[in-house]
Amino acid sequence: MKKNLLLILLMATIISACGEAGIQSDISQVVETDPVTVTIDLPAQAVGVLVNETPAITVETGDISITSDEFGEYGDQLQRFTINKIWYKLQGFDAGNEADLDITLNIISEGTTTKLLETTVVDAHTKTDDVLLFDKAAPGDVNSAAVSVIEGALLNGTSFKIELVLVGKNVRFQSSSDSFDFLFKFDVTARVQLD
Amino acid sequence: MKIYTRILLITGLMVSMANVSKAQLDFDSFLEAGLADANKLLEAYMAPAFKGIGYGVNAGWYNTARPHKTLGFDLNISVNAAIVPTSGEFFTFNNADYTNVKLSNGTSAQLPTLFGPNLGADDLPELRFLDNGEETIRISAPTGLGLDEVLPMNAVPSPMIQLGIGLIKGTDLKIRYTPDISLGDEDEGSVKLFGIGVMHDIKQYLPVVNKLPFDLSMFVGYTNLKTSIAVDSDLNQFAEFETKGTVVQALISKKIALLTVYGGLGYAKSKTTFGLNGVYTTENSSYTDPISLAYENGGLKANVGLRIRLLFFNLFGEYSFQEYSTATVGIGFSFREGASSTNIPMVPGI
Repeated sequence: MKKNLLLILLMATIISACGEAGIQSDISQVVETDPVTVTIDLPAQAVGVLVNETPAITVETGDISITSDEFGEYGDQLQRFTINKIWYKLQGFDAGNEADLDITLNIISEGTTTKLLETTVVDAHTKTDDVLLFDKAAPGDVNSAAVSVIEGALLNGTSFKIELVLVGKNVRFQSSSDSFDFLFKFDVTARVQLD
Repeated sequence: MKIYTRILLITGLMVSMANVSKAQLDFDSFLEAGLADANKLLEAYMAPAFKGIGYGVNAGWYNTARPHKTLGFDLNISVNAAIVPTSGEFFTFNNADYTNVKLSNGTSAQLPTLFGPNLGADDLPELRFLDNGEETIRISAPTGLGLDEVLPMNAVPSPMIQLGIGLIKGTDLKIRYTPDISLGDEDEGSVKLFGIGVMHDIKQYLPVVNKLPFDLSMFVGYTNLKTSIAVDSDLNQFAEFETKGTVVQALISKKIALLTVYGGLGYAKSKTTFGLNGVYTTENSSYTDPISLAYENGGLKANVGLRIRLLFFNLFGEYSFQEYSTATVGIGFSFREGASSTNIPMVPGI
């Protein structure tokens, strides 16, 4: 279907102008990434005890390639991507376990790591609903260069990863180990220009 | 005939732009928002195109009120341009009127129609498409084509070709016809036109009036234009529209040397239907004949025109006053035009 529609569009576009401005549209979608699992281990003697700080843990998401999944069909007509919002949520904390998390988020694209932000998640075990991490309208301390890296990767059709460096703070576990998932959601706008 | 076909193709393509842009910009989401919403949005967006065609097919029928002599005839080619009024460049989108399509910001907004300005994405309100209340995608409202930026007027063209034949007793039979013309490849679509009209001199029946130096006739005409454009002929998906127009008018004309001034007053109505036919499969559902729209116009029609006759050739222009005022230009030739005893040629031989 698309092929003929494109043909018709092409002809109609020629007719209409000549329309040097072409037709422009924004297409926006909220895209959820695959979860990345984080495991915090405590020594046996720390179970049930308040631990001030755990050793740093570094994990990465898998390759994130929103373009190919959601916007790839627009191909050369894509003009730019804009990240409007980023959310995270945590799932799978064992019941009774509590922790704050100091998190550093880095964007890794084409071998280059760019810090996105540092934040502290208080009562991380309760963050099972979406928590706003970045809002384009109020970017706060988020590194705009890292956001640009994501937008560039989307436009170029390349993948990127999110690296998380986590330090548990005020940790009180009822077991010696807890694994939970980080999930990220991106509100992405693709600008499409039909010439 | 090729030119005629091409012009019709252009018309068809313009009319199908909404479908095209929707499809281009995620037609699946558009359908999955629900057929009721899809039809409602498309109906408002495309209204000027279909209304314009409706007005256009009722124009350009005649360029004089004087019928031919028996077996006299004329052949004319004309283009009728139904001028989209300013009010037709935008439509009001109210969230309350839609179930699964909502504005991202606000509850009501003015959105461009197909014949509205070509706005950039930054200037277009954003529409949210919902599925069970959950947002699936957001897309800029469809833009207009901004035709008035590149054409002399923001108008819907309707080309016509017609033959007029003089019968008896001051009666002309007018025929508009093209066979089923294929658009491009054989299965890519087609255009078919048929129209029939009758013009009859009524001045001959009116005492006193029949002595006055002008021509007076009654006219009735019917036009049927069918267009089909393949969306995907392999899948038997076609965009099809049909316009039926009827006009009844009293005509008056006055010939002065090479010039004929003419006018008409009466009633015109039209109905245009548009259907996106075939089975359309999205990620989640299949839709059969998902889009079906209908537009009707009707009202007084008054028009004035001027014809210049050079030997057998006629050049004519006309303007109709109605909701979508229509400008007509045409060219043709004519043989054995009727004579009027009260119309004295100022140039011998004309």
